Amino acid sequence: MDSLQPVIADPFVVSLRSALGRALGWLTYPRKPEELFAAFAPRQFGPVRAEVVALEPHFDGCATLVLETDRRFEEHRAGQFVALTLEVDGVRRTRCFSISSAPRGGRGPRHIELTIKSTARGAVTPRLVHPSIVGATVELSQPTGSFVLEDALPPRLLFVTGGSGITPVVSMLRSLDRKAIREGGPRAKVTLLHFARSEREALFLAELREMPWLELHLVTEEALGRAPSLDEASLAEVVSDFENTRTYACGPAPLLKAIEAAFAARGASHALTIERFQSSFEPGAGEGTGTVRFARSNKSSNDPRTLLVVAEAQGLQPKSGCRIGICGTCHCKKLSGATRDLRTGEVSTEANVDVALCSTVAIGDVSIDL
Amino acid sequence: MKNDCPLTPAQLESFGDEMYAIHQRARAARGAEDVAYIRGVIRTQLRCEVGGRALLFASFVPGAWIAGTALLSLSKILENMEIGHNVMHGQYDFSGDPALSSRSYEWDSTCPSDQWRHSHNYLHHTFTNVSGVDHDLGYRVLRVDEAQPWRWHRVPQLAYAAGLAAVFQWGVAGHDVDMPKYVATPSAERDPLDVQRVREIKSKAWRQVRRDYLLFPLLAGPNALAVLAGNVVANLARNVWAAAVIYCGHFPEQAKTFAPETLEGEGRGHFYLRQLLGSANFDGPRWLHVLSGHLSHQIEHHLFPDVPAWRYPALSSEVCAVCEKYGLPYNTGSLSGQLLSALKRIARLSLPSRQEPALAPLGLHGS
Ligand code: FES
Repeated sequence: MDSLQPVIADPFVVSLRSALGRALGWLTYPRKPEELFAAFAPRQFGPVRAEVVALEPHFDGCATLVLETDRRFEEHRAGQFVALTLEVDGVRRTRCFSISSAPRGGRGPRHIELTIKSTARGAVTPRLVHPSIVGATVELSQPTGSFVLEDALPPRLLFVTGGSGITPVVSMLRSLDRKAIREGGPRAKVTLLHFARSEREALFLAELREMPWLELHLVTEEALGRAPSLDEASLAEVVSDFENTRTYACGPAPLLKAIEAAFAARGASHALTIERFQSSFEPGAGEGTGTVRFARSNKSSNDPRTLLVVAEAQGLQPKSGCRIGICGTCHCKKLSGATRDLRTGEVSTEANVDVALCSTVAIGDVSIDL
Repeated sequence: MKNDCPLTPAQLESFGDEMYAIHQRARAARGAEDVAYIRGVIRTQLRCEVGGRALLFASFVPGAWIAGTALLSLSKILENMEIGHNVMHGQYDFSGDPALSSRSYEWDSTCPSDQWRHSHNYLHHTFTNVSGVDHDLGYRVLRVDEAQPWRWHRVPQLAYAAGLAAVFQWGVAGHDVDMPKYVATPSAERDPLDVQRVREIKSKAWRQVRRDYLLFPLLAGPNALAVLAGNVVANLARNVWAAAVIYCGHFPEQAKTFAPETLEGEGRGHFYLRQLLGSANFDGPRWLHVLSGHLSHQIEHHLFPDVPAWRYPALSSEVCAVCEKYGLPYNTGSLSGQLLSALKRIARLSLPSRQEPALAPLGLHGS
């Protein structure tokens, strides 16, 4: 088993620690003790950090980042992702990436690899795949996500991936490969169906071909001469009874939709596990073209006016003060989508950032924490 | 009338545009430097606080008490003025760093941050120096504006001003609630919002008092009294300093007050003009600016409250140039000069005014 057993603590110790922590909090108030510790000993407290120690380009705009994490980073399970935070011009920006190295399969004991394909005009990914990133420090979340292999390996496994959707899967395949080497042969029959634009852009191809136990099907747009498609019949050509095969899929939305439909058609949705990309958001067609959703009150509207006015028109009562973008009373979290700040003209596509409702308009679909 | 608009409508509009352009440029320039600056200040402040408290614990060593108290005072001043006040204005919100977020920052003061954000960021910064709306005009204690009615109890108000300075954080804590009215109202008839606010103030104040006047002294054991005294003096020093800076911001003689009608249909140019005429700066060395939270640049702060304050000195030359172009006053002087001017005004208004209040709307038409 790859994951470590959690240490079970003595309940007395636990309650003593929490009492001490509270008393400490009375002394450090209004700051939290952790904030104080982090200020004086950032290596031991505060967010988990990692240093970019190497960058290995695959093709234009796509590279593998080798990170050396600090001691607090926990072992990941193959298929999980991390949220990486990079400060760009003083602005914290967070993106999620699957870990492509196998657990304990990095260059060193505390190394992980992220294979990243940059989005054109993105605020973060072009910087991450640029050589100047080597030596930079980034913040990491602990590994999360439930797109992982079950502990007991099923007799047959099918992976369906598209483009950089192969990154979590390659971590799984690498850990299966290590297992196969250890055990002198694979225990399961494993098939990978991978879609890529061209053979050159098919990530990890050479390495995958070196895995003797893996049945690899590569479909490229280049070879087909058209965009590849997937349906029940074409999937059955790869694995005839796919409905009885434990399947993992990761890739662009249309691919996931197609595979979901194929499994649903055979009444086998339970056999399929999907990892959706945190697609980096592109602004919609223009201001006032989308729907503003107020997530907590479950209301939405196509009103193109400022978010404050739209919310009020929906009968909500967000706090407001000056209504001209001065006082900050109306600040509220934007959960997703693109907005324009009317004060600066700036477009924000970040998720989970504060916006001033009174001086912000939506561009395309936007979700607000209200 | 004295408050009539010094600019013609056309001038007012182009004045507003020029100020707005400076504002836009300053907003667009926010970046890594600002974040590095404020984090550096926070680091320094935390060092001062920890060092100060440690020295107070060792106050049996000669000189340690003085040094500890000085460091703790410095820490509190930095935290309230350069960090708390400015972070809560949202000057660093652009960074997306939760530690620098205006919505969640809680400062080292008996005033709950939420109420501060309402009374200061909204009421004071939106209705700056508008008689009867901006309670920072005298904090309901002082008469600093002819339009406020004179009563006999105003006579000793210079002493009130000194008293308020000594307990300034408590004055600020009660600011969002009309405390005299609250106390006079029977509890059953009190506004539930005010009741809630008073509950928050009590809880915040208790945490502050528990830390400074109870836990740290107790932890010091035999040194309890020295630690207690150090904390009292540090809070006092911070209070007096904050009050002095704030009296200098809007009370010097040339800082204008405005009639409520000013607000009707107020445009961009008007808004900037009112902020400019209602505020006063003081000059001094860089450390003085930092200790004042750059409220030494009250004018720039009121024009651009969401711009990181340490940039105000650099912006002031641009603002000055615009003022000169339109023949507008740019009120600045030495710290002592401005303070004296503010105290003079407080003293003058402790007696009834000779003429009727000359407040007029900051009307569109020049005199
Ligand atoms: S209401 Fe004041 S900033 Fe939006």
